[in-house]
Amino acid sequence: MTRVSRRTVLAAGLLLPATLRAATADSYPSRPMRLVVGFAPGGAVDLVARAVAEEMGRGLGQTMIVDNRTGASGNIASSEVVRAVPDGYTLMLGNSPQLVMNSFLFPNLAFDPARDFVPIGQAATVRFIAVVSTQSAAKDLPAFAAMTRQRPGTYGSSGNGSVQHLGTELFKAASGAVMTHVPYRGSAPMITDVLAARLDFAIDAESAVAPYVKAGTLRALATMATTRAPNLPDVPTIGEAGYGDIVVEGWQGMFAPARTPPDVLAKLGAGLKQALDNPDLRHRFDVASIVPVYRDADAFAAFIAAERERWGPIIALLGLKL
Amino acid sequence: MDVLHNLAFGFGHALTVENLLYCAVGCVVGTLVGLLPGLGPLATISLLLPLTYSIPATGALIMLAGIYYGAQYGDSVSAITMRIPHASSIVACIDGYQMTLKGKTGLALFTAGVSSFIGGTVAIVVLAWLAPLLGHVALLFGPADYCALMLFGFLCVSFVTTGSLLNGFSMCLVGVLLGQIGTDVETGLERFTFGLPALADGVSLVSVALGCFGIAEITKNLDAKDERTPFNGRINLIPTWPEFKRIIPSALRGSVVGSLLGIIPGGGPVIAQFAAYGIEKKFSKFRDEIGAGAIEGVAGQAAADEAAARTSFIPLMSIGIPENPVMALMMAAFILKGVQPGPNMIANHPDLFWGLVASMWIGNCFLLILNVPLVRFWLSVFKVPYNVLFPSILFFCCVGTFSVNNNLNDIMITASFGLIGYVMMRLELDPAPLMLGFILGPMLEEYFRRAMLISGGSLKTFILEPISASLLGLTALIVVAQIVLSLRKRPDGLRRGMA
Amino acid sequence: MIRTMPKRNIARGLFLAAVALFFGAKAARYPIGNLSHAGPGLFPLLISGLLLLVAVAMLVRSRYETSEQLYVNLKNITLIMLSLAGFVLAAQLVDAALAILVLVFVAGFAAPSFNWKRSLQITAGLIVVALALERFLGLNLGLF
Repeated sequence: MTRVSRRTVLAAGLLLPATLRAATADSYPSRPMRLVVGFAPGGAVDLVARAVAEEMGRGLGQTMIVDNRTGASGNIASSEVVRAVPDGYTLMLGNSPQLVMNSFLFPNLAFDPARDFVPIGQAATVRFIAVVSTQSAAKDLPAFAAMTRQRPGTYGSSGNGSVQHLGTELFKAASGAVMTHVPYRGSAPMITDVLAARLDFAIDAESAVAPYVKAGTLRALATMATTRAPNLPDVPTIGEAGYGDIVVEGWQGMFAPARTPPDVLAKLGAGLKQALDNPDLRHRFDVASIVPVYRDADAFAAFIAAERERWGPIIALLGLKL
Repeated sequence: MDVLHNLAFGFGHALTVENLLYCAVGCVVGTLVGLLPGLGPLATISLLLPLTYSIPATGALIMLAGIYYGAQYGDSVSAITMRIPHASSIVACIDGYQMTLKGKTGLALFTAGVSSFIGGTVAIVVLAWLAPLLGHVALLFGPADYCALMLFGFLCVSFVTTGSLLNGFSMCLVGVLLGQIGTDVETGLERFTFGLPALADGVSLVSVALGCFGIAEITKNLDAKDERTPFNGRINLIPTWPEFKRIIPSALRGSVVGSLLGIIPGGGPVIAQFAAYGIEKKFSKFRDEIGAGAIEGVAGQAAADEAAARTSFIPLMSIGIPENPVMALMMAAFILKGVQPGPNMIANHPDLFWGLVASMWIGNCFLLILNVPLVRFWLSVFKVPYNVLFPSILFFCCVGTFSVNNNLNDIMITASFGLIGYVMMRLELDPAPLMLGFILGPMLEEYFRRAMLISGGSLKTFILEPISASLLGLTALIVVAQIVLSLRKRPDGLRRGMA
Repeated sequence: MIRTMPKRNIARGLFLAAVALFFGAKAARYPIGNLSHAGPGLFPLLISGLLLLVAVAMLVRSRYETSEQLYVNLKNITLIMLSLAGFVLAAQLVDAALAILVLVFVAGFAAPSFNWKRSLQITAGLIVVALALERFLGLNLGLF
């Protein structure tokens, strides 16, 4: 329940469910909205959420408060939003692990991300870059894959079931590279070990590796996307590197609990689209190597369904259960 | 000299009215929030990070850094006066709180203030002269080396234990087991979580610290029916000259230890405090008094704390590696301001780097000046009867726990640790070694298994890596030396064991 | 207050043994692996084994030394636990302001003397503090 409804309930001395005061499109939003984020301040999701919340709040004429409910790979935030009253005042800025991977990784989830959330629209994408240490003899991906077939290597990830982990497994399957997975708590300690050449390979977000690539302390072999990163124009795309079909990206979008009224959803979708056009927001995204990408509710839903088709089998193949 | 020139340049940036103001605001807010039991630097920075969006880059970072070390110092105050620690002030609960019980709160707080100043100053000298060179130290440590470092750290158990060594060792093991709660990094298996989502990421250090120290202490004080007044009313804030002389060597030793450990990822203030305390107990002239409320027990750790807080900026600013959660937040703040911390930061943004370094020292002075009125204020807080004070402390424990994840269920976890802490207190088992085990244990396991993964399952990696080999050798040497010494002085050793 | 309390050193050994057995029993059910490729169960199993040894050593030693009776005041710790649980429940079901009231009043009974007026004053003071935290630090307490 949100704060204002709580006060109203208390003042009336009755425990009326807040659903009775259903929102209508003309009056919505009439009080502050809450945008739940499953990750700590400072991360990519939080950054997208705060920028979007500020602009959307301005556009809709009500404050949008970012609420960081961290823990359990974002599942704590998801379950909180799923259980909220679907009146458009509790929303979530979620990412691909929360909406796609977790439903395969955690068999005991108390909710189904596919059924219990309704997408409002995609907000952003994060590019992933494949890097090796500068001490590595490999200058391109096929050469690297061939090297590991001679002498098995290691690769790092920011945790079991992370995009880094699953993306590298995709690459292994496509290229026949032989590497052992070494999971870390988050990306920074993992990149440290790649820098020191203790790990042979890693796929990580552009913001995490680009500074080292530019400083010449890491070598980028490919951008795991269909287009090159403007920031790293010399790095080939994964298609150009010879493995056309393995696009690995992180994405973020806005979600509401299922059964949120359609007119409210439409208003939020328009607000999101407008916010993403704002140059100020685009600058903030740009600084953090986040790409603003808008997909409307229908396109986003289709995209998420495709993502499920893609990652579900890989997770099942790896036998990953958390 | 080049560095002096750069520092002058930095002071030029830090001494503008605007930046001075940001520094002062950061220090004051940080200290005030840190004073509240349970709220530490991580929570404060993450709550205030969004507020700095509208401030220019240098000012915002100066303010956040001020919040960081201000909160760090504030934490030690609540540890000394109420035995409610945060991550980096666990050791302050030992001697600092003993001093409070003896009515020497004023002296303890003054010692912490002066030592923090000394620690901060030493660290800034290190930061200014060596930051570009020392960054690479962070890359030298591989998983095998960290594993050896953690084993070495476990030697501190014998120093932070106040009672019998066997009890301390057992508490350390309990701490290691508590650290096992949560998701296993390597396999993703949830261990000892009872299927509770709130435990999936493990128990937070804040919950354990607030439960085992804070809540247990409150209950113990309530059990002791009489009104708690450890203050005799007439407290001299300024120490006598002999007392002051005791602060300096300890603070200097602590500064060096803190500066060194701050540079190594994974360490930082949390581990530096234990190391500094151990060193004092081993080498201080007054080592026999430590544990029962000695100046050295407060001075060394306070200096190490502040020094490590500042040198932990080195890996961030010189190679772009955030070594602990607070630094990860600072990194996010840098990035939000369009500054990429990393190999090119000092060259690309000299105004920011040197301005920040200079402002750290200015912040240091602010903290020292703040110290005097603050201590007076605290002494007046303690004139309030405990009946009024303890519900408020309980409330702040709730707020502190909540602020970690914004999750109310976490308060139940803190409460459970309060119960466990109370039982342990009644059994006369010490919580300080438990905290040490809780911090080091999970890292030991993680690094050990990672070293094995990377080396392909060969234990030889621990001997082939020079850092790991020398640390392991040193650990073995100290253990053997302790055993030989205790065998030679058998009656004495036995007496210590039975105490 | 409780007359049948065991000696402290025996209780200590039993407590540690219980902790060791609890973690050990659970750890034994996780994959153990071997030293060169340790499973998630290996490390906790080793540690709880070590702790069990220490606990047994303590129990054996307790037969040869004298110890005081264990003292536990169940009333205070129960009240403190109840006040914290009440805080969480009240904050979840209603709001944080009521939660503060519950916390202060339940905990208040643990004080040597309970006083309605004093508890109300503390509650009011803490609500003001919480408001300040919410306003200036942006803490999402959900006060009203």
